[in-house]
Amino acid sequence: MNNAKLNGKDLITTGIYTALYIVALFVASVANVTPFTFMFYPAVASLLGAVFFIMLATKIQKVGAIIIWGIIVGLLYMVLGMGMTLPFAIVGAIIAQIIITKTGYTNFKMTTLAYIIVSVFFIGGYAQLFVTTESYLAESVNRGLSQEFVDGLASYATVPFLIIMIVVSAVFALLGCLLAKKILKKHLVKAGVL
Amino acid sequence: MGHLTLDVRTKLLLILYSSIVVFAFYSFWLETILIILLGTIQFLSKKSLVSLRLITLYVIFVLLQIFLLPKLTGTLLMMTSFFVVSFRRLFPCFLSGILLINTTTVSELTSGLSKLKIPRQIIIPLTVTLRYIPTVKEEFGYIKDAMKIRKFKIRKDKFFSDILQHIECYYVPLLVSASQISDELSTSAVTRGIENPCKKTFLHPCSFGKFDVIIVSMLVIVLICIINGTF
Repeated sequence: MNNAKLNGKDLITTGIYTALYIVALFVASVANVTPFTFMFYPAVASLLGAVFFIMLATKIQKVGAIIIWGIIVGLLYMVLGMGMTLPFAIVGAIIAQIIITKTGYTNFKMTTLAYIIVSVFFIGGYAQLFVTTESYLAESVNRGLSQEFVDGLASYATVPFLIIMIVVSAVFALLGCLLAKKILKKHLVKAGVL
Repeated sequence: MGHLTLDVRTKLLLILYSSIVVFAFYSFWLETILIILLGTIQFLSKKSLVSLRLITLYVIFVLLQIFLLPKLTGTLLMMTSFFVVSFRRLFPCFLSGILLINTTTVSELTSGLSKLKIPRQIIIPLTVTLRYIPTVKEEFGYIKDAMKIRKFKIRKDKFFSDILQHIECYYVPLLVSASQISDELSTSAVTRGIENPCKKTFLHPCSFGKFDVIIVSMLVIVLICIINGTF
């Protein structure tokens, strides 16, 4: 079973859970208003989206579903103007897929670990801010953003803050997974959906 | 007909163009040209489609940037400038996205994508995703209504547990209906031969027309102008 290719049914199921995850991303985008919460957008998104990732990982026990999920979510980020996320999303999804496949798909702890890794990789969308800080900020002022907002961003573009972002994302992803486990146990396992 | 019909690939190119070019080289004129171009295309392809609200909002934002921003200071400036400037940059993306979603059927999209030689393993989930997002929105509305009928509210004294319960109330029906729909949809797709390995033919074959050529050449001209620094 494990080496089987994805068939039509699996592809459609992947599409549906990806759609649910994307809706969770839209809901989380409330966070984008101030520069401080703007930096934690991926963390909030991964808190809300965890259930759908876990459903996807446990429902389709074949290689490739998670990778396709990563590609589609990355494409969405690109359309929303964070094109840097796409390569990071793909790499993160491949790592997650390897972890999940190696541990036999039903190991909840390993699925959680995989989700935490993917969530941390989504921070890659901010790479432009951290790697080319000066030119990015200069361009922001050029575009007409207020000096104060840019100063706010600049004070966050440091290595310690990057570490904080990674830790917060990981913690939020973990919380999301725990919440997901609770909900799935309470409702869906009993009803026989999962 | 009398309407402008574009190839799917042109519409995808418009999305890609507005999400990459606008972000890579910022210029106010480029943004305005794109907005005008996209508005015209929307008007020509379906009169009811013109996103008047978005375009009006765009004009308001531009006016705000010119007249209001220099006068503001402090936190107020920070908040408004983020909305007016950053949010405005997404407008070309929104307009081209609306164009793609409202004027293309799923079968046209599939035929366009497979002409671009994108593997079937990505096309099928992508089209299902795009098709399913409006359904999820609809279901969100139903859940909200049901909660209103049962008088579900977030109380201030039990804020945290109420929030958790709200999340549960949204997740469970969505997940149950998702697994049901995925079963139904895949049964119907298998019946129609989705797993047939032979090369597929299309009901709506796509091909470049003269309008596509006109639009693509306009985009290229604008790009060359940007690189030369005319704008």
